[in-house]
Amino acid sequence: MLARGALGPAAARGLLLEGTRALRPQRRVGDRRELAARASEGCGANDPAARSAYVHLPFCRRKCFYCDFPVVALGEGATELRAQEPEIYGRYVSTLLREMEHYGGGGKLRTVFFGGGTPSLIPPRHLERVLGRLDDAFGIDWGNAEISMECDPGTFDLQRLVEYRSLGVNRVSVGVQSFDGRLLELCGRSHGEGDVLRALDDVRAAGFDSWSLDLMFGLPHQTAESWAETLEMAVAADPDHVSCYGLQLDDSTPFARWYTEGEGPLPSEPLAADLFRMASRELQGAGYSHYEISNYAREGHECRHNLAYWRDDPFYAFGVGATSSLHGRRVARPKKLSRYEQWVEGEGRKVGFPPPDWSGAPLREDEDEDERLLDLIMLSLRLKSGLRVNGLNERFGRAGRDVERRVLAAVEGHAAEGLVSVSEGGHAIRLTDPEGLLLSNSVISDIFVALDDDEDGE
Amino acid sequence: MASLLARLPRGSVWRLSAAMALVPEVAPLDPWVGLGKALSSTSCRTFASGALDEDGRRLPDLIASIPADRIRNFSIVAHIDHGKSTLADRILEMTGALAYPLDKQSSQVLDKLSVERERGITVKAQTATIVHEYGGHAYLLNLVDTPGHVDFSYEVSRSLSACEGCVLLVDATQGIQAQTVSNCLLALEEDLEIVPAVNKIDAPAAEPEECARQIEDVLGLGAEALRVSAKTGEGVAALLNAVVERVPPPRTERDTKPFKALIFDAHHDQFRGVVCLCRVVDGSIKAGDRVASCGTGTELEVLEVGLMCPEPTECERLEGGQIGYVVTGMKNSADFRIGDTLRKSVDVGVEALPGFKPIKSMCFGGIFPAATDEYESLKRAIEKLTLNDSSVVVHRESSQAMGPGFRCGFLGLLHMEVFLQRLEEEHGQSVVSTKPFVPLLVVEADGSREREILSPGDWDEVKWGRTTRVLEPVVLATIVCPNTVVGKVITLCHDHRGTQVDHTALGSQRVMLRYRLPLTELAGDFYDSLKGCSSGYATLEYEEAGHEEADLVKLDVRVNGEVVDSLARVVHRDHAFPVGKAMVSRLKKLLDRQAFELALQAVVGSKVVARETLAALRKDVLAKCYGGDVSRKKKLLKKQKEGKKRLKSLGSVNVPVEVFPQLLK
Repeated sequence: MLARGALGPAAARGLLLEGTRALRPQRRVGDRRELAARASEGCGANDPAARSAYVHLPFCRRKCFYCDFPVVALGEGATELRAQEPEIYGRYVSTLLREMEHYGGGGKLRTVFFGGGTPSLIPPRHLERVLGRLDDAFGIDWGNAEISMECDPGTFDLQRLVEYRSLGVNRVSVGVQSFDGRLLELCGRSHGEGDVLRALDDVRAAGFDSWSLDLMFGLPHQTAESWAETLEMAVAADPDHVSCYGLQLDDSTPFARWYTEGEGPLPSEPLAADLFRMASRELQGAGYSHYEISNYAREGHECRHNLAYWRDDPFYAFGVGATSSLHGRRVARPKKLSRYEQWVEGEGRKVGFPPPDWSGAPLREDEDEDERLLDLIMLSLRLKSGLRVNGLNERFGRAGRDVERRVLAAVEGHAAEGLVSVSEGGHAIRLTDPEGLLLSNSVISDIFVALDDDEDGE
Repeated sequence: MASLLARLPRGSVWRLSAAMALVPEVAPLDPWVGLGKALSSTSCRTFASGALDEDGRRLPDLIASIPADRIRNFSIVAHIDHGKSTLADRILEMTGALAYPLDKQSSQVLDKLSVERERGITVKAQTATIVHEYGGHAYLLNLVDTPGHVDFSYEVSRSLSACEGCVLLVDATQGIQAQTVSNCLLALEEDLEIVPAVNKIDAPAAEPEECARQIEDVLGLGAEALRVSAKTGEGVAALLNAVVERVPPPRTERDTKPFKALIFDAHHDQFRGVVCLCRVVDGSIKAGDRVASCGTGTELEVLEVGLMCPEPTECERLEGGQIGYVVTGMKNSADFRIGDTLRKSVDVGVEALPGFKPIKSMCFGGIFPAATDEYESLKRAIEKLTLNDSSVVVHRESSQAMGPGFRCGFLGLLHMEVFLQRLEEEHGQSVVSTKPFVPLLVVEADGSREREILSPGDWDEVKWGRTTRVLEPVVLATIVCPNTVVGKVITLCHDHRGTQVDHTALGSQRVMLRYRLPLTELAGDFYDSLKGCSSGYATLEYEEAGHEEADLVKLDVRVNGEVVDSLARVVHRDHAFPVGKAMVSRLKKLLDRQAFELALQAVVGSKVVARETLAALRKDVLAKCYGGDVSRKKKLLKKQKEGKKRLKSLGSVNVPVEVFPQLLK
């Protein structure tokens, strides 16, 4: 979702809504039965507990300088709305649908998330095919489901949004990143401030149930003043939800070649920490709850799909580079499109989609359990609600291991430092906002260490 | 002769076969791992003890029939890579000790301990008994190998004292080198007959005449140097003849005097206990006799005696003048020390041979497990290694920063390095070691009190009087280098507090320098700097040269005001500032930032000589969990976890253990 295209010169605002159809897919019962039968030939990849599905749509006009997600850059022409659409969309969606053929049954989906890439590049009719297949395979709880998609300024207009909405999309996440045009340019994004403002108007006009404004901080040449202004404008745009991700230098990206963490033109570490504190202060002051380390929401507007990740619930995932978490296993799909296609057509089909590097031997159960515990700790501590310590022994305390005591002992020092707050009676812990969140890795890795000791502490 | 190591079933099981031959079998748990590797029962291709000579006699019988005046005990001494091992291989082939010539695959290079190969030194000596025909008679030649480094000079001198002569081998393309000089001096000290030989005469760059002239001029050896090529075998027969002609036979009384033998090497065999290599001085010994050590008084029964042919070959008895092995089933190698004298239990009056020295540690190093839970396995590994090397002195030590560990004393700096390397390579231990510490002497001016300082922690200035002096060990270093770099070498020696003793030209191209240097100065990067400033051409060798007074101070490192014991050093007063500065700036670079600001100080007494400040950590990476893919974030956290598991504390600060080796450099 961090790669964005720019709005082309032919960007048309305020297009007529005529021609939009009610595109909500009809359920085709026959298809569904057939799919379920096919799925049973595999290894029953569907997880009856999973209620969320992630769909990766990798296409972008160009790749941003900081992005290392699985992205297929299509070039300038790709964003010409209503222009001849690239063939590759159709082909990719067909591959996606074939991947989904292996699944069926289980409970109805409560969240669907289209991430990318730039999902808003995908014409509505293709999105319709995907939603239709998901509905056929699992059923979508249309009345209550959260169906999100990422949209980038410059790749959509109001009509497009209305079309998406008519398909059932009820939440969009707008990749604004910054209101400072100079910073946008430095990041290799070619949408400008003007595009951003138009896009926000369109989003509001389209009338989604909920929408998010996504920002980034720690960008090259970013100053406290520029960030303050961006935060102010974000609040003024009145979104239901705000994401604030700190820039991360990933090895394979141009940014990693150009810059060094904490050194100019990137903000110094104290400045980057201040930017985080500013966001926490300003957004909470404007009535947004800091419900996750990088996310803020008005009450009732938390992203339910992302909460499923953070609560370590099982979820399906489809598409290049996407990771699913089913039956307690995370499975990462190949990150290269060609490899992904091969995988769907070839080995994945045969073995029912185990991880590409899977040797065939089942993981040891206790190993598996330990991994789940680490996941749970790491994910829960991103959340304002924190980690429920009570009950960990019941689930993970094999061989008399006192997981709960170890966790509490590991954070004792951090509690004294003011990085962790422990609920009365030690039933739950959470990172304090903002200081604990800023040093979350240090705290979490200390808990990992405590859980790793062979002997049961002193 | 290190080549023999692999072919000698040192740690292997010895079984008596029907043919009375010893059949080696690989023992997987052998502490001599490096030796066991290349060895299998089929790869032994030696003149086996069961084989017969032309007259139909078994080799041990043939050897037993050779009178003492036809025995020659000798060793080969040479600078590294001057061809000692190759020459030994050739001699064994020519005398039939090896059934057929060694091919490239089985030759020395492959067989050495990896530490030996890497450093071009022989750590443990080996020995072979061979039969050489000369003038129609069979002569018994005992080739005694010597360890190849000054740290083991005591062992070298013990090995040499088992001989009456030695071959001084010099590479014709290299000329005399530092180790040539020191070995030659050791041999002269033992009053050996020296047979000089110029090796590698077949090499295109060989200058045998120049080389021979140096031997005469510099070493003052009168005898004409022989010309050999160990590679092709040219001149080797003549060399053996020269050994027979020039080296005197051992003086021995086989029948009239009681048994007396010099232990010049010992090693530990997993199944048979300690096996001693002995030079029988007088009398004779056989299985069933009870023997005692003059040094330690330990008494044991002899289980087996034999010759190294070069396979261990059991024989009925060992007699005066002969060299062979004695197995007693002794478990602890410290009971029979190298240099000790062996007598029969009954012969209480036998006097010990001169020259036995108790082990003296020339440097000490702290050795700590990289992770605290590896303490027990480190302990076991050290125990195993010291079985074979009783010269290592081991004490338990607990450091506040490093936790429980050991303080070990070594014969020298290289000895310590070799020990650490073997811990790592042969026993898979990952350890953190402190910089070697050279023990100091603290004496009162009137000589009333003398105390040894074995680690910086022993430094206790407060208790000293105003007349207390600190003495440090010094060495006499011999450096041979090309004329063109002599200026740089002199500067290097002066920077390391050296004083020149000698400056001699070696021909027109090279110079021999002799310097008095504090031993501790050689502990750092001296050797590397020497090699660096001479493009690798300079060679260095040194010998102990007593103690000298020095103006030393204890340099402490404080982290947030707390002294870190394992980082303390004793340095010369003039070096306190640069060393302190370097230490704190290295600390700053290596330490992860903490949630609070850190003051890093280098301190002498109460005076801060250098300081750095490490800013506080303000934030972690706030990684995004993209599309439910937590693997990258988890990997990062797990990496941090692994780092933290191996944390050692520096005062109030936790530091990844990986940092320590660099801090302690």
